[in-house]
Amino acid sequence: MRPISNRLNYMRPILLGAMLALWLLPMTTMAQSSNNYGSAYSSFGLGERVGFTSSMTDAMGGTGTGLRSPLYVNMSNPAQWSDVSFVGFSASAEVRGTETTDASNATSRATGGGVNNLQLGIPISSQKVGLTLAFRPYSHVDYRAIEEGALVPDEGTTPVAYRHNFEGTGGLHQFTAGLGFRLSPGISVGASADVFFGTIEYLQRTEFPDNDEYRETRISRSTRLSGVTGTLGALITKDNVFGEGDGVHFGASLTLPAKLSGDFVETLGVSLDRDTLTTALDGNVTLPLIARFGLAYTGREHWTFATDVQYEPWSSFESDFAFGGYDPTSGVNSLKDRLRIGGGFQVIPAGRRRTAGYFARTAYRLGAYTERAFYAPFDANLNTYAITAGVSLPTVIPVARFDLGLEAGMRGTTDGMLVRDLFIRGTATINFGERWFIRRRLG
Amino acid sequence: MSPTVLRTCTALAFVGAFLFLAACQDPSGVGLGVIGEEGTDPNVSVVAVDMLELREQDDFTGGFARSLSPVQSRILVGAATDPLLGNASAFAYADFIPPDVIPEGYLDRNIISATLRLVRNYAYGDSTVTVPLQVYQMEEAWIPIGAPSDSSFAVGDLLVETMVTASDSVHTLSLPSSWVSTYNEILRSDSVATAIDGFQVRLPDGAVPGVVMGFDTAMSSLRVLTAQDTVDYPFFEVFTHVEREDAPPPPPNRFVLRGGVGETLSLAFSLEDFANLPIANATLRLTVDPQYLSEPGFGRSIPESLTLYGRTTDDNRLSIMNASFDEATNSFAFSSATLTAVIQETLVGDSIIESLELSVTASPASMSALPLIIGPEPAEGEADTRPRFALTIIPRPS
Repeated sequence: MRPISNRLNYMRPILLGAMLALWLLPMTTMAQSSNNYGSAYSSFGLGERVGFTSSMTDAMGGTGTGLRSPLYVNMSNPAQWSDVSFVGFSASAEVRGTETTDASNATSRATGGGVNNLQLGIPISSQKVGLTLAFRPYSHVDYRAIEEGALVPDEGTTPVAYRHNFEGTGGLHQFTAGLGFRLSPGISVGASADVFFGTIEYLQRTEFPDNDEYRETRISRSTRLSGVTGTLGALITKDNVFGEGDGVHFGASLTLPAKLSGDFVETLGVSLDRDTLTTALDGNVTLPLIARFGLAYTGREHWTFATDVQYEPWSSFESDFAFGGYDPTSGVNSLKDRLRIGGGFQVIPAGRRRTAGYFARTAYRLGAYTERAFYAPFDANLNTYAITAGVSLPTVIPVARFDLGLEAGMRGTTDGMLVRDLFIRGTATINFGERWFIRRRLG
Repeated sequence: MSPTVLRTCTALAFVGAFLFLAACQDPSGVGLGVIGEEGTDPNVSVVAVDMLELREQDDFTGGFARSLSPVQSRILVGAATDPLLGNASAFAYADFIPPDVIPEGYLDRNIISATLRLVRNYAYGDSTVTVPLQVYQMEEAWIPIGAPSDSSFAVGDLLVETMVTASDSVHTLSLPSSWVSTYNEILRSDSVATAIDGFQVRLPDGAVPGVVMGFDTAMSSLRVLTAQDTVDYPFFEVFTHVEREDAPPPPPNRFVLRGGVGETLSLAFSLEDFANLPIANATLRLTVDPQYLSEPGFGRSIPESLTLYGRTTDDNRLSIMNASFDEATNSFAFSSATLTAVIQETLVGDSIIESLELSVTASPASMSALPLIIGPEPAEGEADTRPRFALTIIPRPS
């Protein structure tokens, strides 16, 4: 008979899988039953930037470039991957809700979401060299707005009502593979290769809701992009600064500008039954660099603090294709440099006491950030202010946790043609680890 | 901060978030200014026909009176002299089937008489005249499906010759007692559908009474009587043989398409200016001139329905849709998602349809004619009455 402990080992993935499904299913169901739209501002550039790096850092104001954690695979700085001591897997899903208000006080609400992030961290040499693979969104386009009118037919006097739907979908995804090295107890470095790919589609869908004789038309302009870049990172730690067992960490990472190649095509129709209206155009897009700096403090048991600054010079964005707010033909360029500053903390009431109550062993996180958007329609600088929060729930497996995150904030203004978004975002993430490649010893 | 406080705050935050996320609704015009997209209103462009050509195409006037496809709801009998549309004549074939329901005990009672009841619902020509009619028994089984309108089938003995008044709504043609006694038992047996092959109804040779009558195949029947019962054997397979002599050419700016004799109208439109443009609707409009057909004492009709076909690159003919005559506007309008799809595919160069063809719909059979207005080109500001497409164009985003 197989020992009980061995059976438990086999049961773990099943239990975790079931728990993951229980968490993710309601969220994805909600996302699918919703209209799956988001902010009108996602029409700019290559879409709304997505900054999820880990469930821990996400709930702490999107910080983490200087944060160290053996459990969480943090995508903001490859130098941190040297800390990986378990084979760790992380999967995350999210639901986003946006209420948009314009100058006339008209509002619309949209909800969207889906799978957010998949990460795998593998310790090549525990706490010395770590390999990380990750798939995550870089940006998403998910806007929709409608314009209604009435058409006067050539004969007869009864107008035919129509509705233009302007919809944006798609975005860029990012596949990352990289290594982190610990050069000394206080210094780590890392590097990764980042493959970008995705399609950004602008759709004009015109429908005639009250007349069956009129067909819905779908004119789609889609740009498919792909390319590779790299990220470098460094992390410096000073231990025992304010007391035994604590640490102050400073991290920095730089994602190099990425030159993406792509093609643009205009089609008419639906799905596979599309007719190409124009010859495909080839061209290039240059993504700006991403520079991150972070400072963090990790206490011996209860507290963790972190703050981050992220900078992306979108004013240097170049593209042969037109995107929202950028048209190389007409010279329109509403893109500006993006700056994001955030901070947050985590507290675990029980510290390292494994025998404490469940909610005392839960990690509670709170944070906030502000961001100057990378777009400035009508020359207006748009800012985002948001608070973040989250909990990390312990499981029966010490190295597995369920994390729930929440973000609520405000973006933009109702001045002129602009709109103000009130948004909220919920995430559910499972993080779990297993010790692999460990030689069992007797005695 | 105690775990209890943290737990309560956490629960409240997530409940609030759930309520916010659950309250989604469709976006509206909010954000249009930010998106920067601006839809141009759909507009309608009218394209007049570029070329009209009369072609020959088999007409199929046969069908089933009920239940099966193709349906043929009318048969024609008569002859008329028509200086406008050409002389025309027709004779009809009809077979019948046992009724779905029979009176109790009917199969055990003798049939004492049988009549052909022809319910008239159409007249072409002078409907006041009397018409000599003959009824022949069919000699063998015949197949009306796929037979061109100039087909004939073998007939046997003459059963009846009588005079009817064209204006009567029902013509009753009594079959001879010899026929009744011959088929008395067969009519009440299971073999009735195969043992009797129906009738031909026609004019005597050379007769030109001046009218072609049309009979409703669903209402007409073979009626048999017993001492107690009246039982109708409904028509099933029907066919009309049609002959039309050439018509004199119509006056300028008119074009005549006649039904029943294999005439089809090929239409061509110059759509090059609309290449690759998205369209939401394509409506083909045909304006007719009813006055062209009017003549005191001589009834001519406009087709109740026209069928639009697409001629494919491999020379097949696909039915696209039918359109009915609108008396209020004296026009036919073809408008459907299918037709729009055909034209859209043409505009993007992805269509298997090479040309459009128009025919008088085969059912109900008629001697109708379509007097199309094909000109002149309208002056500025005047409505176009030529065959024309109205294309509802969705301008492409700039």
